[in-house]
Amino acid sequence: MLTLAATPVGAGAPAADVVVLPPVFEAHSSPAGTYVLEIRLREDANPHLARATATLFRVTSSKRQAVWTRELPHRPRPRFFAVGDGGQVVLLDEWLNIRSELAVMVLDLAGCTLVQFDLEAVRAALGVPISALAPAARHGVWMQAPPVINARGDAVEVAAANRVLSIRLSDGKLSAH
Amino acid sequence: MTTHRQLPFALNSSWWPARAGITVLAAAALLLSAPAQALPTKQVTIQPWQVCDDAGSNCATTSLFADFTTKIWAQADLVVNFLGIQQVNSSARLNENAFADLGHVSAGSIIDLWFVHDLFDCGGTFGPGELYGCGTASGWFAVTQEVFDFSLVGRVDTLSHELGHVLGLGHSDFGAGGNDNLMTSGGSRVIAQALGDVNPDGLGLEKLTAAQITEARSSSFTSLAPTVTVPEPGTMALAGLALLGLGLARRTSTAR
Repeated sequence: MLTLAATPVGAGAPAADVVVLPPVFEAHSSPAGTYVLEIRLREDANPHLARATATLFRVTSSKRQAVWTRELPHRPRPRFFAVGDGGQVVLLDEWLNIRSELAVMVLDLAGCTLVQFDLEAVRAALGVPISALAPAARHGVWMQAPPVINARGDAVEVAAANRVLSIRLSDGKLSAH
Repeated sequence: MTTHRQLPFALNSSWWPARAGITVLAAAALLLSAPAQALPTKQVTIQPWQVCDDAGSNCATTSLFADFTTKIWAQADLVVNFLGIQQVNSSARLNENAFADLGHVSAGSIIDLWFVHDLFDCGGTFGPGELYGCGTASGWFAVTQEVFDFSLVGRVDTLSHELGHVLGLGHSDFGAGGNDNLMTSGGSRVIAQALGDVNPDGLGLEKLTAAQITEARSSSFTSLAPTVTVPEPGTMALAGLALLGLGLARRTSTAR
């Protein structure tokens, strides 16, 4: 029978493999403030499974009206998101730090999935070898910085592999420069 | 390009140049058959403990993630040996409040790996969040159920990550910090879900830097692995050629 007589911690301070959970609630407005997307996390579910709800609001001077609400497939929620002045939504990657099938997802004004791209599609659009993604990444497996909506307001741009991935809001088309 | 290599013995002037051809041939064959310079393989030995409750039920999930562990640590020419999994019945250890209570219980340089259900402490060094594992250079580490709940294949690198802590590696030293590095803290590190994404393949995840490799290999928990040399057919042919050359040289010398 084993006697649990442990050696005290001495030479090496313990170090943990720990992941901080995403915020329970986060909201972003479109550049002109015409739409707001809110993402809310259900707190009572497995932290590694999908458990986020997204709601898009149309904002006018007099009121704020929900356009759609839907559950998201991301585990446990998207890493980043952005909303355009036309109400299109771009969801980027998952909070879980893995190679994801949900690298890019674009939703239309009705909340329906317009396009969805995995990491391989992102790599192909960037025109780089797969080995070039992770060494440059600062957020998950491929993004170097949080996304921004470009000056014309028609695309979301994300730095990756020392290039810039552009996601057109109208149809989700990927390009890179 | 011409490469000059020093022969491992002095040429006898009385042989030269009459037997030089045969001798140089033999020497060249010996040199060519010598193994290439490489880091000697080192090894660590781990004793896994599966913790169950006091009644011997509700045991912690175990997996050595052997394929991943092997490939990750092959970067350091380090072989990870696992002893048979032993069961320990202790409800207190199963949901452990103090990482230090698990401890180093095996003899000498054998590292202890504790599979527990949950861990609420890692020497006070972690904040709120999901705790997958904890390790210390004092010779033990722990892995929690969260590792297996992480995804369909699990958080396959926690075991290797915590082993890195046992071998003296931290979250931000020896070149750690990149999202693709094995030792980067859990919030930033990207976790491979397929062997094909473990360095040097695919996404190149779970990477170890040269400095990390040097540090890990210098740990007192490592030792030289026993070498079993199986000559390749080409090597055996060259060795045979060398012996033939030496034999011919001796025969020529005797005949005179």
